[in-house]
Amino acid sequence: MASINGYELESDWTNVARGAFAYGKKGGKRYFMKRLPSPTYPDNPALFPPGTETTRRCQAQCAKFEKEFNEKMKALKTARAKCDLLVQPEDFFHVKSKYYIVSDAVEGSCLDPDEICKLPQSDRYSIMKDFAESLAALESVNIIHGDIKPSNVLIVKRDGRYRPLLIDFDDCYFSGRPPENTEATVGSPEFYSPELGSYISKKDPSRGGMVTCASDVFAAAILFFQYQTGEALRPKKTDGHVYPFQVFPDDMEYCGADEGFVSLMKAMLEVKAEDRPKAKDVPGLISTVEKGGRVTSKTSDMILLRREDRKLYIIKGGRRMSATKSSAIEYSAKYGLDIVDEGGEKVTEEELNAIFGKDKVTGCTDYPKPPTGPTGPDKPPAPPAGEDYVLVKDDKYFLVIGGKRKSAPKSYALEYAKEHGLEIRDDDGDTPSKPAPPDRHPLGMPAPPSPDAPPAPPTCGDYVLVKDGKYFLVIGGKRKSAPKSYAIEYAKDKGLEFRDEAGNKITMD
Amino acid sequence: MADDQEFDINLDIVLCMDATGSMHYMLDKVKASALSFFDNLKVELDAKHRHVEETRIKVIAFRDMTIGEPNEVSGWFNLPAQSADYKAFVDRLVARGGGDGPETAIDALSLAMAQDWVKTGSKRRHVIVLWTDAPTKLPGEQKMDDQLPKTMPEFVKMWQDPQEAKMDPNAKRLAVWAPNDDSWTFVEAMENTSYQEVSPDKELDELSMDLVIKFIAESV
Repeated sequence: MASINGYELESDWTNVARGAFAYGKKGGKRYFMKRLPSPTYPDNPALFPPGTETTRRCQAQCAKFEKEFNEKMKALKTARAKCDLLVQPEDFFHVKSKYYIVSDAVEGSCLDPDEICKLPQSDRYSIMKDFAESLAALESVNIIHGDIKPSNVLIVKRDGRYRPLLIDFDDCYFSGRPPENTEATVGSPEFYSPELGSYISKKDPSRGGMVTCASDVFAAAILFFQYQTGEALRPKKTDGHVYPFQVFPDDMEYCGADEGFVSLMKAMLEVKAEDRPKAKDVPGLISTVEKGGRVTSKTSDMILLRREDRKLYIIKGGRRMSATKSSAIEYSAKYGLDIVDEGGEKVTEEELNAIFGKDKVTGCTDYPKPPTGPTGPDKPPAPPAGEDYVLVKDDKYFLVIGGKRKSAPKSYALEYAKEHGLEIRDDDGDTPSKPAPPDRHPLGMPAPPSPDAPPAPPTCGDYVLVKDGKYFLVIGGKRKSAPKSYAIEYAKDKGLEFRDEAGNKITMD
Repeated sequence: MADDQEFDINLDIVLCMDATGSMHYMLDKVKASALSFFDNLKVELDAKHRHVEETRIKVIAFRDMTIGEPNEVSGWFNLPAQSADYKAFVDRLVARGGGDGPETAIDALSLAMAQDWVKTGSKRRHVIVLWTDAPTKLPGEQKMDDQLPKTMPEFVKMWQDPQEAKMDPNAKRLAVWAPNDDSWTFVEAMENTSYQEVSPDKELDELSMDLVIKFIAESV
């Protein structure tokens, strides 16, 4: 058998999608060797004459690749010292035109992904926690694996426990520095994070900074779902093909998973990278779910108590608003929302009173107590007190009471205005007519319609365009394609017409 | 106007097939699988959870341009809509000619590289697949087409240099099934290529359209 750079090959090279692999031995140890498809070193003068532009460009490309790969190898070695589940490259060299990456061979049989979902739940959670530890080690050195998928996680039994070994670091990159040419970004689209999908689809290298280690957390959620249920995580049925990164967490199909696990998924699948938990926090969240708790997610409606600094927040429709104890309790009762801490544990009113004291105002803002007594259609609104009103400025709400202005959560302010018969005014003293902008998915699609919200009047000129069997939302003059079912639901919710390209109204069956 | 939150993968495939007399068995395989080519490709892509928005295929049937045998080049066929047209084209191909051993395979590759490859899509794949049972002649030996590279460095530059090629440098993939011959060693010196040795005396038994389709699907 041949030998390459001192490694005695055990077999011929096997071609794979990206390059080729073989096993080799050196110094009595067995290694997995990968032959990379690119770059290729211009060592053949018959093909790459010295001094030509092509040869110089290839040499520069190889020099850059070697420098970057050596930096990555150094970082990965540091990460490996923190977590021995990383099968990181041990050696890297080129022979003639080809580059080779060498890593330890993983010995022993590996579980198929289909078998993992059949393991006891405790084993599955153990695998997920261990995997999250691997990601945390990568996160600590700012490395993104970039190609998390079942075939790159080898589940082997070591010391009576199933351990997930993360392999294939060929295409990893530093956080914020994905390949400049988006076509060179590998990975499987069904595991892409929203920011990675956006980076690739927009082909704008300046957006590379958006792709951070949170991208791997998103991919890990998709991997965990497969481990838990044996099924791939898919968006809810839509017309046309949609990847997980193109939809909100609430629009995924979580069949086969319990509420606690789904809450973990939703947290890790947050559209905004900064809203996802850090990899180092994921094992703790898994433990919460394991004990029957739920994970706090930015898009779940709830009242959140942050114990560390005794702050309360109302989280509704993806927005977070600071709150007093009393408004939090009232809001929780009115909308049936749990008050939970960051670990997902429910917090009782008694506990809140113990933390904040009875009727003690706390939180980032304080504002007039919510109206007491029965509310609703039976109670006539109190007459307005002089010049009291609700101010809307830059989409923020303020109660102006006795000439004093206090900021307030929107829902509270509207409720208060209704109860006290206050006018709602903008900065000029006029009643604002501009509707609040819809929540936008970072990739541009408006948030899915809420079943509770009454349909808002359409902005003049908004409609749904139907062209060549495809559907587009035309909002504010801008056109965005959308799956058919989504477009129909959105049109129904917003009272939009369907039109063809000529502007003629279409009647939908 | 492009909708920038879409994510679509577009795939272009050029099949460079040796259509000389000795290659009739492989040509028969191509004809037999032509109508089901897209369906079989889709099965492979689905297994990898890859959704390709648009797929096109083109055929370059080559022989030996140095003895006046021109290439037969089809247009682009959109699959699956034009599967029947693709089949009609390959059905018309006849395994004939070729003369001495080496054929003008490199010139077929040059011609493939010069095609108008798809430029749209969030991700693109430009895949060339070539198979032959013979060594290849060098660029410049043929005089039928003056536009093709005349030297190996020119040919390599066409593949490697982003400004030269019409193919996206990171989207391009090349797979060659060819016999073990020095004339084919250049393949592995170029980036994003794959070379598989075949045995001409076994009628390229190692090669099937399933393998070709598998390679294409794995390239996406």
